[in-house]
Amino acid sequence: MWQCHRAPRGDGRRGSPSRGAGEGRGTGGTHGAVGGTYGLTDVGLSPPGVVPFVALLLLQRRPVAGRALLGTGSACPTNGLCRANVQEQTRRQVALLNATAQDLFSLYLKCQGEPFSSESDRLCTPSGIFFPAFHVNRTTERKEVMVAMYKLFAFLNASLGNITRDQEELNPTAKELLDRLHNTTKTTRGLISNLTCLLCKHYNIFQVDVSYGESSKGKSAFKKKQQGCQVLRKYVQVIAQAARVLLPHLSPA
Amino acid sequence: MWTNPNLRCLLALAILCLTSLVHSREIGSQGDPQNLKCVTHNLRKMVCTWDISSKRRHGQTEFCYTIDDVIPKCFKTKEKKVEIPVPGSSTTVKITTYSISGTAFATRHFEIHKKDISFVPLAPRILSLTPDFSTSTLTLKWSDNGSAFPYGLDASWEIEILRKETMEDVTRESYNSKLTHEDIIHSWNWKSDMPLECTSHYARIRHYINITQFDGHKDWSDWSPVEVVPGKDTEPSGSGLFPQDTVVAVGSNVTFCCVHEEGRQVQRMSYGAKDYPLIRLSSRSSAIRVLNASASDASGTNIVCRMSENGMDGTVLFVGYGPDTPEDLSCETSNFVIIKCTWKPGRASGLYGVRGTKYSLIESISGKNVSCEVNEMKKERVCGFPVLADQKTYSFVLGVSNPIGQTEASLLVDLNQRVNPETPEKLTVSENSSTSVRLRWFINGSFAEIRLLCQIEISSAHSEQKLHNVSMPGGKFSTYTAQLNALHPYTKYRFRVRCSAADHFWRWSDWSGTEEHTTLEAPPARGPDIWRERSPSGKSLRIFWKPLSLSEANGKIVSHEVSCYLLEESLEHKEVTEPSNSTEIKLGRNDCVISVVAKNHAGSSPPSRITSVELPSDNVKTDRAVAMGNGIYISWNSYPNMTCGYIVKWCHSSGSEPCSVDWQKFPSNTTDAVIKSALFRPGVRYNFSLYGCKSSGYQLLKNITGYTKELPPKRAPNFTVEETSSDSILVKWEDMPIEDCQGFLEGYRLSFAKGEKDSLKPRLLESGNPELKVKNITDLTKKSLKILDLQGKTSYQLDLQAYTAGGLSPPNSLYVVTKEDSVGLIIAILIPVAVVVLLGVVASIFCYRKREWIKETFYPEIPNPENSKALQFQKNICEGNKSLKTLEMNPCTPNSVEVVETQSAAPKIEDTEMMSATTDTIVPEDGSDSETENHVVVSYCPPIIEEEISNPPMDEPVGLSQVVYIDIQSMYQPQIKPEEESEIDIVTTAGYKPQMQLPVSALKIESRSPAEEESDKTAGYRPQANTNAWNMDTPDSPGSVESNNENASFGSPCSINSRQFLLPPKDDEDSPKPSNTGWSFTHFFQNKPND
Repeated sequence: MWQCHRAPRGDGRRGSPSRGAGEGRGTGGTHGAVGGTYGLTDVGLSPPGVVPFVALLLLQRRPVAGRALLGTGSACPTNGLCRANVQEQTRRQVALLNATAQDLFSLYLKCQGEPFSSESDRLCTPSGIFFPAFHVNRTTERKEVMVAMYKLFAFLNASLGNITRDQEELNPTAKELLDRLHNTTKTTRGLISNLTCLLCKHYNIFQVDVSYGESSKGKSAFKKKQQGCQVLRKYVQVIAQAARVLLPHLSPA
Repeated sequence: MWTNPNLRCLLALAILCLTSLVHSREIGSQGDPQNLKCVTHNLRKMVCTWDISSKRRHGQTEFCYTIDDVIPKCFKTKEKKVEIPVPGSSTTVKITTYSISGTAFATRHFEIHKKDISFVPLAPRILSLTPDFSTSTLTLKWSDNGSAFPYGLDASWEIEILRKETMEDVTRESYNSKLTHEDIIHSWNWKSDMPLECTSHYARIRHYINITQFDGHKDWSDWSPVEVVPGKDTEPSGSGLFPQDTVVAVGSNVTFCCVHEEGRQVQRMSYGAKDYPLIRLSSRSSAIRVLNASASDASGTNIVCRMSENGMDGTVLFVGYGPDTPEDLSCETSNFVIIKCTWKPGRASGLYGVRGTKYSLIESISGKNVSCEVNEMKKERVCGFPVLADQKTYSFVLGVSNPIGQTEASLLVDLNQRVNPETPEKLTVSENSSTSVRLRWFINGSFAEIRLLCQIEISSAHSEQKLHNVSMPGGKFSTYTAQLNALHPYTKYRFRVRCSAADHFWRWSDWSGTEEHTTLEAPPARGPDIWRERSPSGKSLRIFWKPLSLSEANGKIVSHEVSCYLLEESLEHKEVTEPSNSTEIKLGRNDCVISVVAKNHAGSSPPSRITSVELPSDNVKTDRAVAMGNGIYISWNSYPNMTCGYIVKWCHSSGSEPCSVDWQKFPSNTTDAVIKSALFRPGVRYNFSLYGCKSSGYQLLKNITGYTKELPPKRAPNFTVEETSSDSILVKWEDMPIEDCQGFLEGYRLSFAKGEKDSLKPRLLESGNPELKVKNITDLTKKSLKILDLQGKTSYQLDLQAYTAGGLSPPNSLYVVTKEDSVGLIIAILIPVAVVVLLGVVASIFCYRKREWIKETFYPEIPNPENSKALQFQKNICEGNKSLKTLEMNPCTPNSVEVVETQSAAPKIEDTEMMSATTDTIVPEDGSDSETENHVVVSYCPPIIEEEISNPPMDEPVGLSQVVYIDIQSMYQPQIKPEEESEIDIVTTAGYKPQMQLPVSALKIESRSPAEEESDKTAGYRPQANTNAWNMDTPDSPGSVESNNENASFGSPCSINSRQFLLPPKDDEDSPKPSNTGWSFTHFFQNKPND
C-alpha cells in the first residue's frame, strides 16, 4: 500500500504549510490557490488578496471563534470577483478532497505507529475535539450550505496546517504523508477561496463566523498524534457528506 | 620495696578498688547515680547522662565536675543529663542525689577519660529534595555543618531513597566529603528508573565523621527527617501516562506508569503493539517495565494505557542512539570570511526534529562558538565559522549532542593552508594583438595575505588543450588579470580559469565559466603553393594555387594577386578574389615569371614565384604506378640537372567539370613518393606528370598512370557473333572505355556451355556446369575468338567478361544456336528405316516357314489344350505336382479332391488320398460347411457307382451335383454368393443333361459368376466329363485366387468321352454363351468372357 518512512534524501523539505488557527497565523491562503499536484488551478478572486482569518485568530488552547472577512473591505468587490468556472472547480475540489481523504487518513494512521492502525476506532474517536457542525442536507438552502461549507473548510484548513506542522516534527521522513498533507491543505485553501467568491457573488456575504479547533502546539507527541487522527477521521466522514450535499448545489443549472 | 610479693598483691588490690570507684559502680546503696555516659556531637561539648538505681522519688541532683584540677563546677538539676565541656584528657565528676525534702541520698564520684566519650554527629538536615520530572531525577541538598568541626575531617554520607506509600527501600547510596570548617551545602542527584510522577519518592540522609584524633567511640548520626516528592497519584486530579515524550538509548530499560483518577482501573498497558504485565504502584497508579528497548520509528513508539470506562491515555517513547563521533572533519575557507567545516555524521541517531543531533563549533583559542544549522537529511554536514582577525590557527572542537549523549571531534588548522578559493567569475577576454589576449576575472574573497595560483585552460578546435599557470598576489575581493601570448592569429579559443593558494596548495576552486574569443587576423605567413600550365594552343597560361592552411592564412583570405614579370617589368597584373584558385594570363608565345600573393584583411603574404618556361622533352615514357595504401606510389630516376626539385602534377576529374589540377613538389634529392589526396577514389585512373625543375624552367620527365585501388570493370565489353557453323562460333568484341575498366585491363574471359535462352537454369557462371568451357584471352589486342568443336543445331550460352587486378566484370551474355549437320541427319533417318525393313523381311520369312507351327500353336482348327500355349501356362505352373495337371486327359478315377481355400496351400488332390464315395459322403447332416470352409473334401465316385447313387434327395446337400461352366477364356471366376446355392440346386431343368451325374458330395461352391448362373439355367450342352478332374486349385489359378472357388474350372468345358469341346450353336442365344469360338492373340489377353 503506502510506505510511511523513506530513506532520508538530500532534497529536504519544500515549502511550508499554512499555519493553524491555534498558532495565530491562520490559513493565510490566497485567492489564487492552486490544487497542488492535482492541477486544479483556481482563481476565485482575481486580484491578490488575503482571506483575513488571521485578523481574528489568537493563540489560544481552546476553540477560537472569529468572523472571517471574505474581502479586504467591508463589502464584496464589485468586479472581477469570480471566474466563469468557479462552480465547477469548487465541485471538483470537493470531489478531489473526498476522493483522497480516506487514503490520507489511512496513511496518517500507518505513520503514527501502533496501536493507531489497529485501534483507530478507540484512539481516534472525535468525541473529545471540536469540529464545526455540518447539519446540512440536499434540501438545505444553498446559501446555508455555502456558509456551512465555508466554516467547515476554514476549520479544516487550520487543522490541516497544525497536523502538517506536527508531522513535520514527528515524521520528517514520511515524505508521502507530508506531500499528501500539503496537497490537501492547498486544495482546501483553494476551496476556501472559491467559496469566498461564491458567497460574495451570489449572496453578498463577506463575513462568516468561524470556529477553529484547539491547537496542538505544546501538547505531548501522543496528543498531537491523537488529535490529528481525530480530526482526519472526522474529516473523512464530513467530506463525504459535503460532497453529497454540495454536488446538487454546484451542478450546472 | 616492689620486690616483696606481698606488697605487690596489696597494691593490686588497692588499684582494683580504686578502679571500681572511678567507674561509679554502685554496689547495693539506694539512690546512687550510676551508668554515667557522655556523648559529644561536636567535640566541644558533651552530654552526660546517668541513671539512679533507686525507684524512690528523689529531688534535685547536684552535678560537680572538675577539669584540669581547677575549682570544681557544680550545679543542680532535676534531669539526669547535663552538658559539660569535653575535657582535654579527663574530668572528675561528683554526682549527689537528694531527696524531695533536700536530704542527700548518695554521692558518687566518677572520673571520665576522653576515650570514654562517644562521638556521634548530629543528624543532618535536608535542605531540599527537588524533583526533575522530565529526567526523573531527584536532587538532594543538605549542609554538612562543617563549621562545627575542625578543618579537614572526612565525612561520609548515606542517602536512602524510598518509594511508594509503604516507603519501600529503593536504594541507599554513599557520598563522601571533607569538612572545611565551613557549612557547605552539598547536592546529590539520583536518576530514578521510574518516573517520579508514578508514585511518591522519599529521601533521608545520615553521616559519619571520621575524626582520627578522637579516642572514643565514633558512630553514624541519626537519619535526617524524611523528605518526600509526592507522586501524581497523590494529587486529587493527577492523571496521565508517564514519562512523556522521553528519549532513551537503544537497549535501555524503561518504566511507564499510568496514573488515573480514583475509582478507575487500569485494564492493560501496551508498548507498541505488545501488552506488558502491570505492576501495581498504588491504588491510582500502575506501571509496566520495558526491557532492552529497540530503536523506534521516527515518530516514536506509542505506549497506551487502557482504563475502565473507555479511558485511554498515551505517551510516546523515542528510542535512538547517542551521537556518533563525526568523521572526516575538515575545515577550509574559500574567501577568508567564513571557515566552512564539513564532516560526516556517522551512524544515524534515529532521532529527528527537536530530538535530533545538535552540532556546535567551538574554537578553543578564541573561545568562540557557533551553533550549526544542519540538514538531517543530508549525509554531509556543513557548519560555518567566521574568520577572526589576526588569527591564522584555529583549534576547532565540533560538539555533537542529542538527548541521549554527546561527543566531539577536534581539528587544528592553519587557515592559510586550507584555502579553496571561490569559483572565479565574471571572466572576460580582451585582445591585445593577433597573438595575445588579456583575461580578467573576479574572485569573491579576501586573499590579500596569500598568493594565488591560477590555472587558465586554453583550448581551440585546431590545437590540443593547454594549461597555463599564473601566480599572482591575492587581493580583497579583487579582479585578477593575466596575459596570454603566443596565440595563433584568427583562431577561436575557449578560456576558463580556476585558482588555488600558491604557497600551500590545498584544493583547486571550481572552473569558471567558459569564455570564447577569436584572435585578430595577421598577414598570411607564406605565399601560396603555385603551378602553371600552358594552354594547348600555347597562347595562354593558367596559374593555379593552393589555399593556405588555417595556420598559414592567419585570417580569411580575400583575394590572390597574380603578376607576370619579364625582367622586372610587369606584363600583367590580376587580383583574383576568393574562392577562385586559378586564373589565366594571355602570354602569347612569351614567357615570364609569375608571382602570386595571398591577401587577407591584415595584409599580404610573401610572393610565390614560378616561371612559365617549359623546356622541351624527348621520348617521354608512360609508366604504371603502384597503389600503396590509400595513395599511389611513383618513382623516378634521379636527374642530376634538376636543381630545384621535382613536381608531380595530376588532375582530378569529377563528372562533367574540367579536371582540377593538383600537384606536389619534392626536393631534388627525391626519387620516389606516395601521392595522397583526399580526392583520390578507387577505380579511377589518375595520370601523373613528373616535371623536373631547372633554373631555366620546367621539363616534363615522364608520365605515370595508376590507381589507388583497382576495381573490377564496371561492365563486360560488348560482343557479337560474327559467324556460326554447325560446330563453331566466331565472336567479336569491342574495346572498353577506360572509365569502365576501373583498373588496368588484364584480359577477357569467355565462358560457354549448352544453354537455352529463357531456360530456368541458373546463369552460366553460377551453375557449376560440368560442360562449361572457359577461354581466357590475355592478348588485349585480340578482339575476336572462334569457338570450335561445338555440336550442330545446339543452343549455346556465351558469357564474356573483362578482368583487372581488381576482379572480373559482370558477364555479357549471348545465346547462339549452331547450324544443323545435314549429313548426320540423313544417316540418322536412313539407318532406322533400313533396320525396320530388314526386320520385316526376316519376320515374314520366318512366319512363312513356320506357318504350320504357328497355326497349330496359336490357331488350331480344334484347339488342343496340350498344344495350347495358354494352357501350358497353367500346366507349367502346376508342373511341380503331376496330380494337378489341369486338363490332363489321362483316365482318371479320383475318389476325392481335397480343396483348400488358400492359395498358398499346396494342391492337395492326390489319387492315393482320394477317399471312397461312401466315405466322402459322410458329412454333417445339417449341411453345415463350417468345418469345410477352408478345407473342403469333394468326393467323387466312379461313374457306375455314381450312377447308382445318383439322384439323391434334392434336399440333401450331400447329393448336390453341379458342374461349373466357365468361359475358357476367363482367367478367373466371379465369386459365387453362398445364397445362390439353392439356385444351383435347380440348375439342370431342361435341355441336354450330362449322362453322368457325379456325386460330388460335400461340394461347396462359394462363388459363381452370373455368366455361370446363366449357363446353369440354360439347357445347352453340358460336358459329360467329370469336372472334378478340372482341378483348378492351383496357386496361380485366377479362379482360385480371385473367386476363392475351389471348384472353379479353367479352360473349356470338354467332354470326357469325346475329349472334344462341344460348342453350343452360335445362334442359340439362350444357351450358355460360348466361351469363345477360337484363339487369337487378342482374346488371349482379354479377361471378359463376352469379349
